[in-house]
Amino acid sequence: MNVPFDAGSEDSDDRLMARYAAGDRAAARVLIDRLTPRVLAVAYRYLGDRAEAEDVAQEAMLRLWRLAPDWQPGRARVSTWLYRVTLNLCTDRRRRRRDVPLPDEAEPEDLDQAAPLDRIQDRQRMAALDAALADLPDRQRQAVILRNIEGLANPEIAEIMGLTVEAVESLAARGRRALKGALAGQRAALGYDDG
Amino acid sequence: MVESDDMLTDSDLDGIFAVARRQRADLPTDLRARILADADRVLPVVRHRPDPSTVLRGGGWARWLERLVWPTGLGLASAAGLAVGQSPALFERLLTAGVFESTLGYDVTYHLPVLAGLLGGY
Repeated sequence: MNVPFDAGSEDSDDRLMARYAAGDRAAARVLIDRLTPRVLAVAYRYLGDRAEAEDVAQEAMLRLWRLAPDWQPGRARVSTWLYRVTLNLCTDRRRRRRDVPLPDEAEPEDLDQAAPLDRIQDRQRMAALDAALADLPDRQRQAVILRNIEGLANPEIAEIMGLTVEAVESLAARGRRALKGALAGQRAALGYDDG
Repeated sequence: MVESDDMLTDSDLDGIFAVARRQRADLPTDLRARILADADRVLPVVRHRPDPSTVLRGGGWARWLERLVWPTGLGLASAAGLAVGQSPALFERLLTAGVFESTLGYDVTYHLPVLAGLLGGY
């Protein structure tokens, strides 16, 4: 069973961090619902392993709780900080299991209310995407995930990755080209053959 | 070589990204519970940590205090040098006094008054 996505509060992330640091448990709940789905999605796309992605999400959020009393509003966005921590944790994990092949995982069950046939198609597309992403160099993979899947703006990605905006643009473009190359030949199999 | 009509178009790729984006909508209940439990566990520690503004590091007044350390130290050293430099008797006494029975003690008792005297213009 999954919890429906609901940001749940009008408060900014900065304000919620301050509320949590002051002892407000409800603020933690809102931060979890607002931020963890993004963290989990990035970790899952990066690692290709659901259990590992959940561990990373939990660890990243734990670091957020510990940081709360020292958080300085306005210096950086909470989500930017969290994405950076998440990517670092993912990178560490990938280094540790560099030669271990990715498990053939099933996709999460509740993609949407689509018909079963569409869901099968979606799963095929996600499996192909995950396989292609896994073959990208680390930095390209990060840029593609943050830009094309998370939909972040290049300046924020640059801040997360510690790069210039131009470098991010270049990485994302090369990553996208590499993905198209990796998926070439699967167009019909992925359901794009009818023009 | 892959035929060009078998290549994914930008639109196809964007469609795949869109499916990936939709997946982030929900958070597994058990994971949410684990993270919330972590937050509850950390909360007492966080709540009882002193307010950063009341400890030396981070507070506004504390930062001013830190900034004053060097100028104050330099000022005191200059004042001491001036005092020693203006008093030949004090200078002489410091120069010849044996504070420590060691080479280091001798160096300290010799060089300090000399430096202080130089600073004081003696």
